[in-house]
Amino acid sequence: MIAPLGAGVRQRMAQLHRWAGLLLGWLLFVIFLTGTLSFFRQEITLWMQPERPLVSETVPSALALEQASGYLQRHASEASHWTVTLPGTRDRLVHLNWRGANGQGQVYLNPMGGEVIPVRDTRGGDFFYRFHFQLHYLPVLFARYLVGIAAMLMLLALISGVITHKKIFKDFFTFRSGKGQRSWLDAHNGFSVLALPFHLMITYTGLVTLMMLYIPWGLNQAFPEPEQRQRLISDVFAVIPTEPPSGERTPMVALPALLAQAEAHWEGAKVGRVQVSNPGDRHARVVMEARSDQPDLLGIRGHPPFLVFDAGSGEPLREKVSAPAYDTYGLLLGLHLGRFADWPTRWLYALLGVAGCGMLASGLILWSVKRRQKPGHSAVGLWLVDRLNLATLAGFPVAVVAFFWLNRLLPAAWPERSQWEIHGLFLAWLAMLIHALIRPLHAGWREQLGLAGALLLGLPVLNMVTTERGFATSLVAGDWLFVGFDLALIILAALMFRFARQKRAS
Amino acid sequence: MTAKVRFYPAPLLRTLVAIVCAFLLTRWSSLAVLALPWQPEQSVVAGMLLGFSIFAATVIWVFVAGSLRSACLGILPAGAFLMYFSQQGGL
Repeated sequence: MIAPLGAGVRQRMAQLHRWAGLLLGWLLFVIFLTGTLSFFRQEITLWMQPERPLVSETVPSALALEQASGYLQRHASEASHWTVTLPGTRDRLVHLNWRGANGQGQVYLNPMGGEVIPVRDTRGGDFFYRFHFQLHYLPVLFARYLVGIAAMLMLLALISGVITHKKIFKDFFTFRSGKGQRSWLDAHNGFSVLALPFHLMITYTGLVTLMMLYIPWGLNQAFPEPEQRQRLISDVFAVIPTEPPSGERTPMVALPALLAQAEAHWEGAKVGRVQVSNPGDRHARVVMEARSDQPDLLGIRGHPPFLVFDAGSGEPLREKVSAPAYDTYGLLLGLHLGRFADWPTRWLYALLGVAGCGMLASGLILWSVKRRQKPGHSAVGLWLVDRLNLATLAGFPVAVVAFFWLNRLLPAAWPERSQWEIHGLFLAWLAMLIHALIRPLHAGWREQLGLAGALLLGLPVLNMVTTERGFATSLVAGDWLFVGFDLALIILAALMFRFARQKRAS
Repeated sequence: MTAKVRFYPAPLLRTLVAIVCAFLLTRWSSLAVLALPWQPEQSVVAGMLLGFSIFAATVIWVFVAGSLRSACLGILPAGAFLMYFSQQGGL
């Protein structure tokens, strides 16, 4: 028989849980929120570039690649690297990128006619994706370590939270409304237990995504030479090393022929991305990468399988290495990124991500509610936690919505437009922090939550005024992305107003 | 009825011990895996995947243990074992 845990153990676990959760809790909330938004990374980018036409028909990949290849040969023949992202289920345009000594460029092609679609300069959903693991304005390495520490604290808080609970599953079915500290604890338990497997999975796999940075000792010991390490990294992460160009021009095999060869090799799985290094050179290589959203054919993988071809002869040179540890890593990474997910699974991921935000928010608020009731608490510490809670839990969502507003308000020709959208987000967040510091706490919550609600509700109207893809037009055209976006904004606005009203009532 | 809570050292000291021990055990475990009769590429990746669990488990253990001394006594054999094999893996 297993002896029940003593009160001392529970108390120490509670202490670990409390401090591990609080120390970087605000950063974790922001990481969780941007991570949740990243599940809709492509959809957010599509919404933020309303110039892109609604393409409902699917164009064969070979035709789209032929158009892309023709465009690149005409406009970027001197580039050292081409990337073609083929139309998929989530984005039906062809996305071309190139880089070289003369700089870099990107365009979207309409696969129906092959014409270039001019779009506004924005980072779109990619901003949230990058911010989720490397923040912004900070040196990348420092930020990634900071995010790693936060993720480890989260893992510790989750494990200690489970150990500290006496009746974890009974608590899940208990919610006592309007009971102050008890209600916040019930809410925290509900959000935590509801999605506990998801929270554990997403936190552990989040650490795994940057494991070579956090646990480098084995790698450095086994492979002391940088070239050896590069080889392993290219095998594990599917980073394709490029050879230097020979300087000798050689005609390339038609890319659609290589695409057909790759799809036949993967027994029908579709190619999602094509990369060409040193195009037109004797050392030109073509990399065909499969699409990630084909779990029935390829399983769940963080990095899809790839095939490397000699562009001159069309001969396959190399493919992704499969081995137990690599595949385990790929599975964990795939689970974190969720790129395999169809629509219901994607929404499930998003809802569980929202539960994670709720868990962190209720935990942070619970800390201050509990502390306030303790005699002899530190007034400065409590004041600081209260203000940071307000500026993060209500202020950051306001800043995110401000980012979307700026996307519609900034003129298309604004210099460094995409950067100013991001600066605008942080300026709005700073304004919320200043507001949190100078306003009385209750009024601050009411005002920031009310502002978030108003901005969310105003966004569909702003979208209707500034674009031709308002709610009614999109509904008639069957543009479900824009319809869904507007509906999601209205639902979130209603939630924010409800929270603001609750604050007024309390 | 209130349970009697045992004395334990200041949380700050326990936190410090937990972080140092977790760091060392993680480092040694990622190297010890290299001693396994696997391909080095596989061992490296397996060691990384294992490392986070070792780190979290060590911190939890330090906080679960009744006293700092018993926490260290528990870690000692694991540390000795991993350190020995980390030397083997490094050869």
